This record gives sequence, structure tokens and C-alpha cells, in this order.
Amino acid sequence: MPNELQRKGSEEKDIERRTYIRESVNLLTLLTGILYGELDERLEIREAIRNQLKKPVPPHVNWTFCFGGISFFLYIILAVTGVLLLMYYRPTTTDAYESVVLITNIVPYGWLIRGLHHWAANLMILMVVLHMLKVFFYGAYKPPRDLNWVVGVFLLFLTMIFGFSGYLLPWNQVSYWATTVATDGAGAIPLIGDQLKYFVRGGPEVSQLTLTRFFALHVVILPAVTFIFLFLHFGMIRKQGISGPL
Amino acid sequence: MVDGGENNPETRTVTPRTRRSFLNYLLGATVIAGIGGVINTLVRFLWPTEEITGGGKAAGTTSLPLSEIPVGGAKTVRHKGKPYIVVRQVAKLYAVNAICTHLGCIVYWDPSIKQLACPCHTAFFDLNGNIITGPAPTPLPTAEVKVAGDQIVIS
Repeated sequence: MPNELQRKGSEEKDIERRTYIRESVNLLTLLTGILYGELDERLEIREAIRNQLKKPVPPHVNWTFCFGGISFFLYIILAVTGVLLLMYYRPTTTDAYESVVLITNIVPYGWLIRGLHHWAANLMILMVVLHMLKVFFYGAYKPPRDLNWVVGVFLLFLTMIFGFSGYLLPWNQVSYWATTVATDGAGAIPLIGDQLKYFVRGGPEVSQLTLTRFFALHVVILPAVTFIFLFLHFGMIRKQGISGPL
Repeated sequence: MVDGGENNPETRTVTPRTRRSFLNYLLGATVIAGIGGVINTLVRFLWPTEEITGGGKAAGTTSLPLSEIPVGGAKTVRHKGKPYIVVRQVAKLYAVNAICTHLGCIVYWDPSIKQLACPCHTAFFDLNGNIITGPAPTPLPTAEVKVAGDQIVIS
């Protein structure tokens, strides 16, 4: 009975394959388990995670309390996709637009990374504003949380400078003229206006120097400063706890 | 009388294949598929394709306009994915692999001494890739080059 034998053979192979998969899963669990156990023994990770996750949330907390967390989540996405875009972006007036076109049209998944960066940036502005409105209308800015409100306002400004500086980087018509018009607005400030405009542009008009300093601002200075302010912001929340109900 | 049946939680044998373990496997597979998708996207994004690096097919010929190299001049082009230096002399064209055989620096054409020179450790080669002086252990490989119409063709 050859058919019978063949069937039996393939059944045995099936069992073998299944066992093999299960064995590799078991092995993986064992390996991570060994590592985890050793780490946990020294650092008490299990205890730390339990303390973080089992922290009781007051009953009045609802979905409007999520805007801040969503803003931070978008900030992480922007950091990751931003680093990826840096692999192909070239911050010079001759190459910037061309490199953005390269990212969008030729680099595999470049459109996805750039799109994520674009939409996360726009949504972050929206979420930060919603977060601020929520804190305002819940009266959560009142003492002792007034200092955290001030830190939050700094973070709002930092987010907007992020958006403003990032807007110039593709070096296309709309970004060039938007930066020209916006920095021109700085010139309207009494006394220091003209000096400020000259300083921000790095010269009398929007040029290579403007692109260079906006690039440095966008990818190095702002992330570092924002990190410090986020640290303060979250530290104060942990210390003072979530604000009360309406 | 002690219940030894299946419903007694004390004595019930745990079967290895339950709905829960199946769902756990399913969850694990979904997580692995998700992570795999992200890693695939990242690797594909970061891997420089030929379009990004600017051509350089692994096989075949490379051609460039004759007008790009003046007589006595030279140009480094990519041929079969490797840099080749094309030198134009009055009578003849030369195409030499520009990667120095010593430590891999890119040689340049020095018209004053009519030699290919390596900028790193002063190895010198003639236009056929032969060693003149310096630390290079083997000659530079050469490629066939000819003029077809107004194009230089390296093969």
C-alpha cells in the first residue's frame, strides 16, 4: 500500500515540524528567561515594571487626559523618522530639494518615512494645542501645578519652532517664501527687530546660512532642549500626581 | 469519596494544546510579523540601491561622452560597480581600476609626471596599471576602452 505509507510519512513529517517549531520557541523563552532572570536579580525589573503598571489611576480620568501622552508618542515617532530622513537629506541650497525628491520617489519606503514625519509633525501641533486646552478648562494649571504649566508653554513654543524650522528644510518655493515672510515679521519688533531678523536669517536674506542654522536648530539644538523640558514636565507630573476632577 | 474525574482541578491533567496556548502562539506570531515588517521597511529604506548611489550596474559596459574628458585629462567613472579612472592621451584612451591595491584609496591622474598616483602612501602606477614605485603589492587591473562615435565605451 504505497499511498498509506506516503500518508503516514507526511504525517510524521508534520509532527516533526511542529515539534521543531515548539522546540525553538521553548529555546527562545529559555534564553530570554535566563537573561531576564539574571537582570531581574540585580535590578529588580519585575518590581519596577509592576510599580509602573499597577499605579492606580483616579476614577475621574477620561480620554481627554491622553492628549499629552499622544503628543509625546508623536514626538518619539518624529525623532525616529527624523533620524532616518537624515540618512539621505543634504542640507545645502543646491542639493536639499533634490535629496527630498530622492527620498520621496526613489528610496524604498522613503515616501512612508517622510509621510510619517510630515503627518506626525502636523498632528503633534494639534495634540499639543488640545492638551493645553484640556489643562486650561480643567483648571489643572492652578497651584501647585502652575510651574508645570509654564514648562508646558515653553514646550509649545519649542514644538512650533520645530515646525517652523522643519518647514524650510525641503527648500522649495513655498518653504523659501514662508520663511522669508515669517522672519520678516520678526523685523516688526520695536528696537531689536532688524537685528533679530538679521540674526535668525544669518544674513540680509534667506540663504544657505539660513538653511544651515535652521537645520542645526531642527536636528540638534531643539531635540536636546525639548528633552530637558520634557524631563521636567514628566518629573513634575510624577511628583505632583494627576490633577483632580472638575 | 474523592473525585478523580476530569472536573477536579486538583487532579486534572493539563493538556499541552489548549485554546489559550494557541492564542498565545497566534499573539507571538503577530508580534513577530509586526516586528519583521518594521525591520524589513528599515533595512529596505537604509540599503542604498543602484538608483540612489548613481548607477553602476554589476555587468556590461559603461559609456560617457568623449567631450567630458579633454585631451591630457582624466575622469573617475563607475564601471561594473567599481571606480575606474579614464585617462585621455593624444593617441589613446586608458581605463584603470582606481582602487589602489595597497589599502584601497582612490588613485588620481597626475598630468605633470604622467602617472597615476595614490594620495595615501605614494604608490605610483603607469597608464597600464603597472607599479612604478611605492607599497602596492600588485598592479591595478585595467579595462578595455574605445571610442564609438562621440562616446567613450568601457567594457
